[in-house]
Formats: sequence, structure tokens, C-alpha cells
Amino acid sequence: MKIADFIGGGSGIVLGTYVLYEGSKMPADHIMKIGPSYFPDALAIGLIFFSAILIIYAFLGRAKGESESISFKDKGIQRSLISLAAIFAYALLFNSLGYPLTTIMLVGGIMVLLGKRDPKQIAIVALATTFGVWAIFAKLLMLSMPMGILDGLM
Amino acid sequence: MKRRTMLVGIVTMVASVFSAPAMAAFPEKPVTVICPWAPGGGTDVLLRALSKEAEKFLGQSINVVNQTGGAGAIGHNAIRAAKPDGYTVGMITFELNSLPPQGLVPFTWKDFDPMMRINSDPAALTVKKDAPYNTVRGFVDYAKAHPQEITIGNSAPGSVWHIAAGLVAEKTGIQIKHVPFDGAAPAVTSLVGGHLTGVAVSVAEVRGQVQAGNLKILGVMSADRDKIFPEVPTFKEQGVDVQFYTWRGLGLPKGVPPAVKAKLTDAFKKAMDTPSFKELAAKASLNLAYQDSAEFSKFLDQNYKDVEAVMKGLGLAKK
Amino acid sequence: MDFDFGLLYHSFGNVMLDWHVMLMIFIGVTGGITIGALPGLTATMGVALLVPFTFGRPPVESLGMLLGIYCGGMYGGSISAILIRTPGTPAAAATVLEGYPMGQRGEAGRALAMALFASFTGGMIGALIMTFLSPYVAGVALEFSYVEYFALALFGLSVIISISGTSIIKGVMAGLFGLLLSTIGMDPISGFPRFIYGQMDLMEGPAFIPTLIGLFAVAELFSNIEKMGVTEKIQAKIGQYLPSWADIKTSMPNILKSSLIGTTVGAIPGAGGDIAAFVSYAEAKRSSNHPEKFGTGLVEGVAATESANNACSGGAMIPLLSLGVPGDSVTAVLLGAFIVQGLQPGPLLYKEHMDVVYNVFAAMIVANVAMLIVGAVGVRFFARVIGMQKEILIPVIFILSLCGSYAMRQNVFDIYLTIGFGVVGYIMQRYHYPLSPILLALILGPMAEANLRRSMVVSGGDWHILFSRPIAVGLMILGVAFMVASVFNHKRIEKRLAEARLSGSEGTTE
Repeated sequence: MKIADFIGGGSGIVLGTYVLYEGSKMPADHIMKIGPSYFPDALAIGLIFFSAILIIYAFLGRAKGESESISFKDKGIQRSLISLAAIFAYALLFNSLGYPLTTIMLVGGIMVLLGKRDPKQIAIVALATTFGVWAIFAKLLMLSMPMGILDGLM
Repeated sequence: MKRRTMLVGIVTMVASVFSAPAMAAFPEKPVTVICPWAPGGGTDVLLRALSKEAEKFLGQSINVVNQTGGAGAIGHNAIRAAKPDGYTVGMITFELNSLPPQGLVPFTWKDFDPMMRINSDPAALTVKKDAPYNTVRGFVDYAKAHPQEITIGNSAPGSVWHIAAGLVAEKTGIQIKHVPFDGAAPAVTSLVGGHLTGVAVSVAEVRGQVQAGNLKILGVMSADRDKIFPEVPTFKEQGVDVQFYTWRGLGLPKGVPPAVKAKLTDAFKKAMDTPSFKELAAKASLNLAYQDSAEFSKFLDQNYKDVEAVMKGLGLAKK
Repeated sequence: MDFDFGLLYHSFGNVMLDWHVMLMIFIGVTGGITIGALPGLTATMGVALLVPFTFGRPPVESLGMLLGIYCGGMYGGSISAILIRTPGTPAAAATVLEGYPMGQRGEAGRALAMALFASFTGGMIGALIMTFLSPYVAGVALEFSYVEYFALALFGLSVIISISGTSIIKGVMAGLFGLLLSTIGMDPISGFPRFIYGQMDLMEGPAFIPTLIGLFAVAELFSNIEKMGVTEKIQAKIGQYLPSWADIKTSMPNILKSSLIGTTVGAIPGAGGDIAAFVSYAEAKRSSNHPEKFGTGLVEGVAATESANNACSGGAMIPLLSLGVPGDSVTAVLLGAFIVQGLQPGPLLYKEHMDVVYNVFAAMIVANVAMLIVGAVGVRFFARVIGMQKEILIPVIFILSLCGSYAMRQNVFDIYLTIGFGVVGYIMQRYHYPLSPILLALILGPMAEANLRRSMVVSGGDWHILFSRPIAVGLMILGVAFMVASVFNHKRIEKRLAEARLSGSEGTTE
């Protein structure tokens, strides 16, 4: 936990410092004394302050709780990373390939990733989800979903 | 003039003949209308009502899609970037002319094909009912005597009503503090609660509170008097030559075939003329002010120049 | 203003004897619960999207339906909060804190039943206060200027300590991180674009709903995927679909208190169910004699948050009807719906359309009863979701989350935002940084900043303005007192937890 708190506090300080740097480039306001940078600056100083306390506590051995470390060799972590890549690809292809195809692929893909192997079940769940969500969004609420390459068929 | 009309007619005809194979039956699928503002807002309600009427004349369903965010920038950008096949139409609003001078967006109205103007609502100066003045002149005199006290609420920094208030201050030489809110409604509430001197929003936004006797309108910034409050004089009548309007209209991405544009224009114009749409507009106290594509373009050009000039004066434009 | 019982009686007749109206209310409630339960679709959006359907329908019917969506949506949000750790609406964000641990313990039915009961009671209390006390409560809205709003935001932020979990430092860091996120976008006063790197999509800051879905739903999905096979499937303990008498008895004081908090917060324009729920949660924790158990799945925690956000609906209607000023985001949309009907809410409505006002009162009360009925039928089905195979549930929630964040603005950028916050939420959760303070900060940050700066515009940079108004000073003192009390409470909690750990082998906190 100690190392995690060092990293956490460190990121807080880096983020705070960056905000202060960006804030220094914002225009000043002479009429009301406090301009666009006032609020972010104040918050950044607060964040740096509390991050520092977190680090000091960790130094003094007062870090709380235990936590698991992230290891890329862990099967579970690998699965999570694959799912992250999959939804990223989903977003990337959402407009061009269209909602129906990407959704069927994502549902099917995640099911396989999680250990399902029965093609019939995968097909049914993927199709049902795609259609069900589409029915609620596009038909009930009139929120259109991109059809992508299937555009002409609709 | 007549010859010119004929010429235009012939050109349109020829164009429609040439594009006929592809566009034989426009529209052959539902048309999408992009609304740059959130569902449930004034613009959205107006557009949905109009679209509902226009469906009948277009013979296809019309889907309203709200692409909101960035003070309207995202929706406008989506309209501009849409495929110019006529299946995407968009609602364009005043912000199209106030965002570019602030350097916030990489486009101006010239990147659009304006189709028609729908409404245009003037700003009005509204104050508390018990304020010690009843005219714009009285207000100006009061403001000159109390230079540090005048606070005018508006709906967002750089918004149409901010610019309107700035214009009044510039023309009359008074000093005011602009207080931006998140929309016109909270500004009006704050005025009713007595936390501001006045607001410079449209008549529609203050109508309820004026009729309820909490607020009074000192003047409207238009050429003619308001239809709901005909007893309120215009700014010009009171010797302050300020006219300022917000507007809404329909626009297309550049490059839509003229025949398609004509069909769309026709359907939406007819929708505007239906009694039920007119009734809705009246209920919402919107001032319908149709202009066709050519007039609308001219209007936009002038409006852009005006807005840019005022924003420079207010220090809102990017240097 | 005298209360007209005859007219109210007559209005109930209008609503309940007309099957068209009753049908519309039931459709509205059912739709509202569904929309509320789906991540990304909020009550606000549900009402907004269905307003066009009411064009050309009689006022009682259309308002009945919209009020049904409003009430149903507020309750619906708790369903996904309890089952999948995703607040279906922002107002249910606080319900996650106790509801989700309950569901994980196999008590989803119990939590859902309590959420429904609390929603109903809170909604009813809010509706009754609206019906009988509107003209007296309405004035509060006008007392609130920028100074009071700033003080209110500070008061709300003091809640962060109560929802910090194990470490106050980490809770405050999360809160500050959330506040910093809320400064992304155009500055509310000068319009200067901050931290947007030329991205138009960021001009209004990270959109709230996608952020919420990312931090909660997607982060939870990642950790579910990681732990697949390690953790066992949740076995629903004996199906309980109605709140037990014991649960009601322990929760009743909290329900009553939270309903009052909810109605009051609702009556303040610009402050809605999300704030009311968090404040009620903190108050329930503060006044509890076993605060150390909060966070482990306490039924009275669910009761507090859910009664608060539903009571808020009634509260928010008060300034809408009597002043024409919407009390929250849903009523802002309802204002439009009234205007389309040719009705201008406000003092004039009371003068000229008293019948409409009373019909709204009646419809709101009936809608709450309808919500109880539809909800009671639904609970047993909702509770089953949690027992579904994870291999199927996870991809379905992924789709709902990603499409839900897309749908709000029809913008793929928001999907990326959701994924990004999913990663952030996953990492923060793993290292015990609480996520709720981020949400609270995102809600209150803009309110604090904009109103502080508005006050400064008006005063010309003179800070004394902040201490010039009694309500504001009162709220600030209350906020500080709350904060100090929470810190002491936290010390007490730590001590008790330490004792529990020492006292034996079975030293768990459950």
C-alpha cells in the first residue's frame, strides 16, 4: 500500500502543478479581481497539499488498508485489458461500421472472452441485445443510432 | 427582374432534370434534423413541432437528433459536416454568429447553406416592478447617477443577451456590470428575487413574470412594438437607437442539390404556415419571421458584421 | 391563499375517473422506471423526449404522463444502482453506497423493496407538501441569490468527508480531482475556454452522464471481468420482495427526515435530487448510532437516499407552479411542456387556471401510488437480474453503458470519455480512492465557482459580499459544523473498527 500511496500522491502533485502552469497562462480579470484561473488554481493548491500529506503519512508508515498489486501476468488483468481494447475498438468503429454490426461483434466477443463457447447461445444473446437496445433507443425514445454500412438497407 | 426569375427557374429545371435519376423520389428515406440544443429547450420544442408538421408535406418521417454541447458549437459543426444529400437538415441559431468572433469554432455561417429563417425575437430591457423608473430614458439617467450599482443578467458569457446589454451600454454611455447565468431562466428568477437591476433577455423569457406583476418591461429593441405587450414602446421610440434580435432558422451543409433543397424548403415552409404550428409559436410567444434562402443569407451577413463589431467593443471577441 | 378541498376532490375525480388519464399515468410510470433504470437515460431525458408526444393532447393527460415519468424515473435510478452499481440517474448516485453492497450480499430484493417503499413515502410527502404548502414554501426560491448558492454549494461539499470511506485524505483528493474536472470547458463568467486543447467536445466540460457511467458502471465491469471465476455467483437469499416491518421501523426516522431535506432542496431552483440524496445520506450517517456500518450495505442508507430524491420531485414542482421557476432539470423541461399547452406556470396559473394546478397536485399523488404498484410488481423481476450468468450480463451492461453515454448527445466522443473514466474509476477503486466525492464535486463545482464569481462581479471584487446575507452565512456555518462533526465521526468509526478487529477472529464489520 505504501508504494501505491507514493504513486497516488505523486500523481496528485503532478496534476496540481500542471493545472497551476496552465492557470498562469489564463487572462487576468481586473474588474472582479478573480479571473478564470482563480478556481482551478485554488483547487490545484489544495490537491498538492493533500497529496503531500498522503505521501508523508505513507513515509511514517500510516498508510491504510492492503491492496492487490496490478500484475500484467495475471489472467484476470489480461482479460480486463482485452475487454478494454475491445470497447475501444467498438467506439472507433461505431460510426463507420454502424451500431448493429459493432454491437453484435462486441457482445459475441466479450462472451467468448468470458468463456462461453456455444455458438448458438452467443448468436442468440448478441442478436437479442442488439435488437433490444436498438428498440428502446431508436423506436421508443427516437434517439437514432448510426447504421453505418447497413445504412442503405434500412 | 422577371427575366432573372425565369433564368433561375430554367436553371433549377435543368438541374432537376440532370439530377433526376438519383433524386427521382427525394426523400426516399427518413430525414434527420439536427438540433444543437438540448431536448426540452425552447429551440428543441419549436423544431420538433415544426418537424412534426413538415412530415406530412415531405411524405417521410423526420427524426430530430439533439447533438448538444459546446454552447451549440457541436451541433452546428455536425450540420456543416453532414453529407450534403438533403437527408440531414439542421437548426441554426444565433450562436452561429457569436461563436466565430470569440475564436471558439473553425467555421462561420458562410460554411452553411442557409435554407430559411423561422423566427426572430428582439431583446427587451426588463426590471423589477417597483423600480424607480418606467422608461429607458429614466433607467439611463438612474444608471448615470449610480454608476457602480447597475447589474444586468444574461444567459451566458458571449450570449445573445449579453451582447444586447453591451450594445445598450455602448449606445447610452452607461456603466453596467454584466452577470452571466446558466440560461435566461435563472437570470430572470434572480431579478424577481431582487438580486439584479435588470435583464436584457427576450420578451418570451419574461412574459410570465411581467403578466404576474413582478417585473416590467422598459423597452423592446426592435423596429416594431411587441405583439403581446403593445403598450411597451421600442428603444427607438424612446430615443435610443438600438435594435437587437436573436434568430433561429434551418440550414443545410454546403452542396445540397437545388431540387432537393427546394423540396425541403417547400415542406418546411408549408409546415410553418399550418395553423397548429402558428398556434404553438403564439403560445410560446415566438415571433415568426420567415425569410427565404436569399434573404436569410443577406440577413446573416449583416448580423454577423454587427455581432462581431459589438463583441469587439465588449472585449468578447478574440484579438 | 385558502386551500380548496372541494376542488382537490374534484381534481382527483378528473384524474382517477378518466381511464385515459390513468392509462397515461401508468404508461408514464412504467416508462419512467425503465428509463430511470437504464444507465445513461435519466428522468430529465425521458421527460424531454416524450414531451413531443403530448402535443395536441389535453393538459391533464399529458401532464399526468410526464409526472408519471418523473416519479418513476426517480425510483428507477435506484434499480441499476443496487443491481449493477450504476446510478441509473444522477439522483441515485448516493444509493449505490449502501444499495450495491446489499445486492452483493444477496439481498437485492430487500434493497429494492426498501428503495421502492422509501421512494413512495418520500414522493408522497413531497407531493403533499407541494399540495398544501406551495404558496408558503415558494418564497424560499426567491431568497436565493448567487451568494446563497455559493454557500449552498460549500455546504454540499462538506458532505464529501462523510462519503470518503476509509481515508478522509483520499476522499478529499477525489473531491478536489472532481472539482478540477468541473473546471474543464468554457469558464462560466468570462467564457474563456479552459483545458480544452482545441476540442469542441470539451467546451462544456466532460459530459456528466458519460463520466458517471464510466466511473461506476464500466469500472465495475472491468473488475468483474478480472475477478471472473474467482468470486462466486451471488445467491439470492430467500426472495424478499416487500420491505419487512423491522426494516420499515429502523428506517422510518430517516425516511421522514430525508423527505423533508429532499423537499426543501428540491424547492431551491438549481439544486436537485442528487444533492438532496447525498445530504440526506450524510445526515443519516451522522445521526446514526452505528456509523461504522455505513458503506457495508445498510437498509436505512437506501431508505434515506431514495426518500430524499423522490421527495425532491414534489419540492421542485413548488417553485415551478407558484413562481414559474423550475426547481430542477426535470421541471425545467416540464416548464416547456406547460407552455406548449398554453399554460404559463407562475402566479398567473394560480389566478387563472386553479383547476390545472389542482389537477397537477392530484396527478402527482396518483403517480406516486401508480409507481408503488408498478414497482411492487417489478421488484421480483428486477431482483433476478443479479442472478443472471455473468457471461451474459457483462456484455449486455457494456452495450447499455456505451450506448447510453452516446445517446445523451449523440456523440462518439462521449463513448471515449466513458471508457477513459472507466479506467480511471477502476484504478482509483483498486487503491481505495472513493468515487462518489468525484460525482458530488462535478455537480457542485460549477455551482460553487459560477456563483462565487457572480458575487464578485456584482460586488466589484469585494469579498465582504459573501458574509452580507443571513441565509448564506447560516449555510456556511452549517457546512463547517457538518464538516467538523464528520471528521470527529470518522475518528469514532476508525476506533470502533479497530476494536472490532481486535476483539476476535470473526471481527468483521457486517
